[in-house]
Amino acid sequence: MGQLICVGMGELAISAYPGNDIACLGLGSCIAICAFDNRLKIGAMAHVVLPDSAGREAKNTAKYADLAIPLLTNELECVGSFMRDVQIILVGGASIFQPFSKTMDIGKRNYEAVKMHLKKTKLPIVKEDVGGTESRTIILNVKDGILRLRTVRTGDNVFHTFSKNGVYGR
Amino acid sequence: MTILRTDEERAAFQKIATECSLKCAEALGMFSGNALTVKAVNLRPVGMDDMMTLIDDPEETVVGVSLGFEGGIEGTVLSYFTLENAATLVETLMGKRPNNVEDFDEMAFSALGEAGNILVSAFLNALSICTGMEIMPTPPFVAIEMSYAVITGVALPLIADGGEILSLEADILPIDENQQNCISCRVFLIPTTESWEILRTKIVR
Repeated sequence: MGQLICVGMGELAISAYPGNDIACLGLGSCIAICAFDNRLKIGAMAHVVLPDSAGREAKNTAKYADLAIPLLTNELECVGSFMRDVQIILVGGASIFQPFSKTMDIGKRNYEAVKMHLKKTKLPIVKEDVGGTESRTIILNVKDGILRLRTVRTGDNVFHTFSKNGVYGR
Repeated sequence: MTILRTDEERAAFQKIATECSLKCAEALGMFSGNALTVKAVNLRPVGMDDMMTLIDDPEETVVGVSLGFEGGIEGTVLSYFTLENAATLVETLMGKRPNNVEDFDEMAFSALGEAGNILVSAFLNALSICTGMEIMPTPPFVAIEMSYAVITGVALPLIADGGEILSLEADILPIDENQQNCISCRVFLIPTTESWEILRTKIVR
C-alpha cells in the first residue's frame, strides 16, 4: 500500500513506488522542485528554503538552492534515471507578507536562484506556479505523474500531468 | 546558537513573556468584551530546522498578523489565530461572523489588522517597559493562508543566518469560565540576531 511522503524544509524525497504520493505542504517563500522521470515513473521533490548556502554546512542539503539541485540530479541518476527523461515543475516562492525590503523577499530570491542553478543542468522546466502572495501545497502521484496543487482560495486541482516523453536538451 | 543559553536567561525571559502575555490578554479582553486571563505561557526557542515542530498541520488555514518593530531593537512579531478564533474576533467587532475564508472581506481584514495591532502593541509596550527601551511597531500586515507559509513567511528573512524564533504559546481564557467567545492566540517574537544580544543584556541584568 502506498504512502504520502511529506517533504519537510530542506529535505528531498524520491520514490519509484507507484502507490506513493510525494508532497510539499504549506509552501510560502520556499520553492518545491518537482522532478518526474516519465520513462521509469520516478518522482522526486526538493523543498528549498533559501537561495544560497554561502559555504554553510546544512543538516539537510536540499535546504539551499545551490546544493539542492546537484543533490536532486545525483539522486535521480543513482536510481537509474537519465536526465533526458526528467522534467521539472517549480511551485512556491510567494511573499505571504509584504517584504520590508527587496533583499528580504526570500521567495523571489529562491525562485531566481533555483532557475539559475537549474539552467546549468539543462533540465526543462515544463510549468511553474510561483510568486504572488498565496501559500501552496503540491502533491505528486508517482504512478501516473499527476501533480495536484492546493491553495486556500482555489482548493485542490490538477495542476499538471507529466507527458510521456522527456524533452531534455530543448 | 540558542537564544536562551542559561537557566537564568530562561527564567528572565519566562517572567517577561508572562507579563507580556498578561498585557495581551488584557488588551484582547477589552477588545472582545470579555475579562481574559492567561493560564499558561509556554516559551520555546526554535531554530530554522525545527520550525515544522511549531505547528501540527502545515496546511491549516490560519490568520497571521505581522508587525515589524524598531527602536532599541528590531524585528517582527507575528500573532497567529486559528480561523475559528479570527472569526470570533471579527464577529465581536463587526457583529457578523465570517463562516469561511471567502467571507473575510476587506472590512474583516481591516478589523483583524486592528486586533493584531492592539495585541502586538500591548506585547511590545510590556517588553518596552521591561527592557527600558523604546520599541515602536510598524503598520500591520494580515494574511489568511496556510499555517506553515505564514510562519516561514515572517521568520525566514530574519533567521536565515542561524537565528531563532521565540515562540510564545499562551492559553488566554475567560476569567469567568461561563463566558463564551474565548480567544486564544500564539505570538512569535522574531528579533534580528543583533537585537537578541541587546535583549539579552537588557533582560538578564
